Amino acid sequence: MLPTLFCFLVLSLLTSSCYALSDYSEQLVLQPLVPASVLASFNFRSNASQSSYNQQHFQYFPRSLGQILQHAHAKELHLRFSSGRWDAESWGNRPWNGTKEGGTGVEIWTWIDASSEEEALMQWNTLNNALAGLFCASMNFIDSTRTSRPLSTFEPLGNHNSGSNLHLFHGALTREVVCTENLTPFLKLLPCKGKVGIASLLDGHKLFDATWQTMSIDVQPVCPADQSGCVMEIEQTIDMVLDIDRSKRPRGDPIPRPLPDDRLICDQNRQYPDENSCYPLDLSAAQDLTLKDLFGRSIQGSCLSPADSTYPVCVAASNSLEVYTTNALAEYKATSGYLRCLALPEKDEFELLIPKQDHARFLPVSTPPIYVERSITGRGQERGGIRVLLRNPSPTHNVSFVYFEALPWFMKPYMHTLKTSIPNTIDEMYYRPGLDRKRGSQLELAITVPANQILELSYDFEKAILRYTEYPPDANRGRDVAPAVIRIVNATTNTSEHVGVAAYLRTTPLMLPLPTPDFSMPYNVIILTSTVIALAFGTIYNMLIRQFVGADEATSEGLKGKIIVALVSVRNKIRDSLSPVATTGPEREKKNI
Amino acid sequence: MEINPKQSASFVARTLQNKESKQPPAEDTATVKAKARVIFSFWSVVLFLGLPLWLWTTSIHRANLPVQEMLAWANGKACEVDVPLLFDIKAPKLTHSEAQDIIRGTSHAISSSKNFDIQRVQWQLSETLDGPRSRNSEEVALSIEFLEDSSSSAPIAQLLLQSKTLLVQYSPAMLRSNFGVYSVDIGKVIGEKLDEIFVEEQLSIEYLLASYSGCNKQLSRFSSTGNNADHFELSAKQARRRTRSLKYAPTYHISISLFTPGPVPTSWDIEAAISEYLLPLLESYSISNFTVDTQLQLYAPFSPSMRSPEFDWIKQQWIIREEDLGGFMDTANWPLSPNIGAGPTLNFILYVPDESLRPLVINGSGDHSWIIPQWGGVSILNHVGRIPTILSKEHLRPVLLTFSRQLLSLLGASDNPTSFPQQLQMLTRIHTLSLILSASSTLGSLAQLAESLATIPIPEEVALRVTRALDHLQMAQRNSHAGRFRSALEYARLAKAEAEKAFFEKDMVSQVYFPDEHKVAVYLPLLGPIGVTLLASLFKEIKKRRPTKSQ
Repeated sequence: MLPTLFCFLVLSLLTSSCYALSDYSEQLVLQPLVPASVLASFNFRSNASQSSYNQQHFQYFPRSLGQILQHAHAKELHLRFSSGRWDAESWGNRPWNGTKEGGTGVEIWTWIDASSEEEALMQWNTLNNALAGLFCASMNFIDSTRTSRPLSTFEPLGNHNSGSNLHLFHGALTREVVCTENLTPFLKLLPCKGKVGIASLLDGHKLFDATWQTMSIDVQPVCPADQSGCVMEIEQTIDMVLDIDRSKRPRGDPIPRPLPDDRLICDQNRQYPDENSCYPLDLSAAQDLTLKDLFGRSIQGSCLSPADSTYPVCVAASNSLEVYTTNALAEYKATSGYLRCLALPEKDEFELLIPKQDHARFLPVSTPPIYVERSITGRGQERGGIRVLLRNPSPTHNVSFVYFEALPWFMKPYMHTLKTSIPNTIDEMYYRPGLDRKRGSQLELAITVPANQILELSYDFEKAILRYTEYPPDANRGRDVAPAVIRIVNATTNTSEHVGVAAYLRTTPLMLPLPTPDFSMPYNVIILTSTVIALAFGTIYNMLIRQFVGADEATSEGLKGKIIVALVSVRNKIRDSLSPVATTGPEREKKNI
Repeated sequence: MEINPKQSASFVARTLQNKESKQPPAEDTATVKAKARVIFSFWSVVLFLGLPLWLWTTSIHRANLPVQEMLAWANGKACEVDVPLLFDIKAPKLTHSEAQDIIRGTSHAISSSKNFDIQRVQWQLSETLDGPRSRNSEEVALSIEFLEDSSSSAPIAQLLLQSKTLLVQYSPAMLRSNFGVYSVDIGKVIGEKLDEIFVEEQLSIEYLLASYSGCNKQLSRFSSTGNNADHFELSAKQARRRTRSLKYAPTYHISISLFTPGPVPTSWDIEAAISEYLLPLLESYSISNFTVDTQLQLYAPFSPSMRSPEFDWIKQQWIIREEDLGGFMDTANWPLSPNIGAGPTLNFILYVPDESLRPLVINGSGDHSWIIPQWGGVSILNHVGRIPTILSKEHLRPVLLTFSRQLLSLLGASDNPTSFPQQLQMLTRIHTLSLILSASSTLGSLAQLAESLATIPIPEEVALRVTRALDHLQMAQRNSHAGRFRSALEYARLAKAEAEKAFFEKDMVSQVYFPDEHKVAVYLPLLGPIGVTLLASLFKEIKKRRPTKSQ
């Protein structure tokens, strides 16, 4: 077991070789995954000295973002755009221990320096509006109902002045579809704009075709131990899991098709009833791959790095894995035996080939500290329940974590129904009930799951009836519920790797079906009630003002009389033509009137 | 008994005729009266309860706007704002009467020129040998200092560059002039100089008033009557200046960016360069504040839509066509978003072309910098030799001087600046006037809008803002008349801001439009059946009463 080896390796590499040297560094780590995927992890770091940041002299730090943050007095910002699902069962632990990951859609949390709560809230709205414009995302819709203020789930990562009065805000937009229009402004923030360096691999077509991807931006002040020469640091990361088969499909013809017969490779170990049958071998299980296959292009030179002092491209696998490169200047192999890094040429193209080989040479699959599943239970339009399964895979150690959930206001949980399958596992609980149309309810639980056990957490909730105008377009789809955030406090206390390293993971979002009205209802109501009222009114009114007389006393002068005469003659004509035998006139008359 | 259909029809008709003879029993008067009262009471409920209730619930709140006053400002009152010039005379060695003589001489000289028709000229004597010292609180447009210099043969008037002072050198002999006309020479010299200094301002003011539709003054130089080539050129020059310069704002953001298509230079010594070459200018421009930010953008080639530069073999330089300058900036990819926060942003772009494309100049003029009206300026750095990774302060000096020039031009300063403090004074006066005109025109439009669209709501907020704007306009006019231009500018700015806010109030446009089908769909199901019944009964009742009256 090599839990969180990946993250450990990358962290150690970044801090040792590149980060300390320059104001800008970038890193790409490719990690082949079983059965046929690749985790590509891009990391870009830029620094600006605190004084130049305050005076708005921007060099590598993007001006557009810097000005927004200064305008909103945001001292630390974390922004995430994610889609897809991380398959923890087959891929193991999350990259960066989940710290660079967000829930599906857009997630943002920030620390704002403000003297009062109202002011901080105002700045938070300003910040969201400005970021919405910068990143082409609907973040302006993060209003008070989508804002939460978790107590212990997030801690500021930067070194902040002790005098500043920081307010934490957290917002999530689950329904937001992350796409190319978010990637383009993301790339514009980089000093080399995705034109050279590892960022030249990033292409919207491939990135958003990935099985799982997350883009993150973290801005925080970082101070060295002696508190002098503080810098504002912006770290942008993109992590994605690419399916090799899918990536290799030509762009013009992305539909998977069966191979022609002559190219089929049959499994020779099986017995066949006749010559025409074939059990094809699963070729994707072991495939060669190149950067061009994966990303559609090769790396175009290096960005801002002086020749061979940095190693921007790494492959996280056993050092016995065969890797072929073109134009690589130098190679660095980590002593752990599971990471090698390559220096890029200054201007030429760089290509990398990993031939097809045994999975034993890949990085061993690590075990995450906890597995989570969250789902909605119950049926009907009125009520429902939430059930969370938390499985601690460690055979020896307990795992403690903070479970944070921000529910929309129309989902009203009954806290008295909160149950755990194992008693006394909730150490602490913070619950802030929601207010209709003002804020959602917020739940934070400090939980410890004993070793090798599954904890089931469940509670019931009631669905509120929304107003006519509060339904989104496509109301029958249901409303999204933001993913729960889990912050692992101590995963395995014994192993040194985990000390001081925060780990996060997020559940998948939920879909909450809500009772939807018939949207033409207001008009129907108007018409129906109006008709009833008009009927009643007409009857009463006529009763009051009409004179009631006998049938033979009714006057028939004018138009009415003429119409009756005409009608009677027409009817008689028809009747006469139909039946040869006609009744007598006076008798008919009696019948009619 | 058998009858044919025709007979049947006539029979029916006859029976109906016969039936007329059988009358219903007459209603007694009490019932008739009761019925009339029923109809009357129903209708009174409709008219006195229903209708007012409907009107009250569907009415649109329209606050009272001082429409007449707003229109008055828009149609002429704004044109009456005057921006007088005050000349202050310091002549420690002249007697009061001598100074008065010089003033008379100068007044005579400038009255013969048409320039000072539009601005009132005032004089004050702040320092003379014997006379009383008068000192106004008003702002002095120009102070004229007299310096005795017996060696000079003719009077010399000279504008000092660092202050708004006109230095006049004279010899005492000139004062004791022959023919009984005193100080004609000095007056003439001063008059000519004043004319030269203030012609630009006069032209700007005239152009402002001429281009404002509300003023129907026949202005000599820009009116349609004087349409010879000379006037046309004057007008075009003024128009160019107006379109180029930004509107006045109390704060401007200056954003200086370096763009280069390659990886160098990676850094520039811009902080030091700004503090040395740009800050002095910004600090002395006292009517506005500035914030400065800078950025460095690598790998930013110019727009792909631009035609690539061509090489001129004779001059050994790369040439961009003038018509291509519009496409030079890659607005889609260059991060040139305006600053967040109030105030307009002025962008200055330093472009360092690739080594293979140097020197890069504009076709025709051979220049390497240009202004983008109301937006900013661009300058190309044609560094000789390899570009250093760090651009030093010395490299940036010519660039920042170009930017300073462009900045002044964008702020509305004249092309041939005389003295900077005097320019600033001039800009204050012109900005005051233009803000007053623009605020008035906004108020006029708002008044017209409110009058022409009867269905838009007018919130109290708008009325309040309009009142405030009118007050500020009044104050601006008063201050301007008194020569206190700094406060006049401030009031004019406030007036403009209030007027704009009133005009763009978002509650005014909301719910302006309910389609008629919508209204029909809501009202008809109820009002149709009820209305028909009520109306029919009313008509019947009236009809019933009419013949009784005529009888």
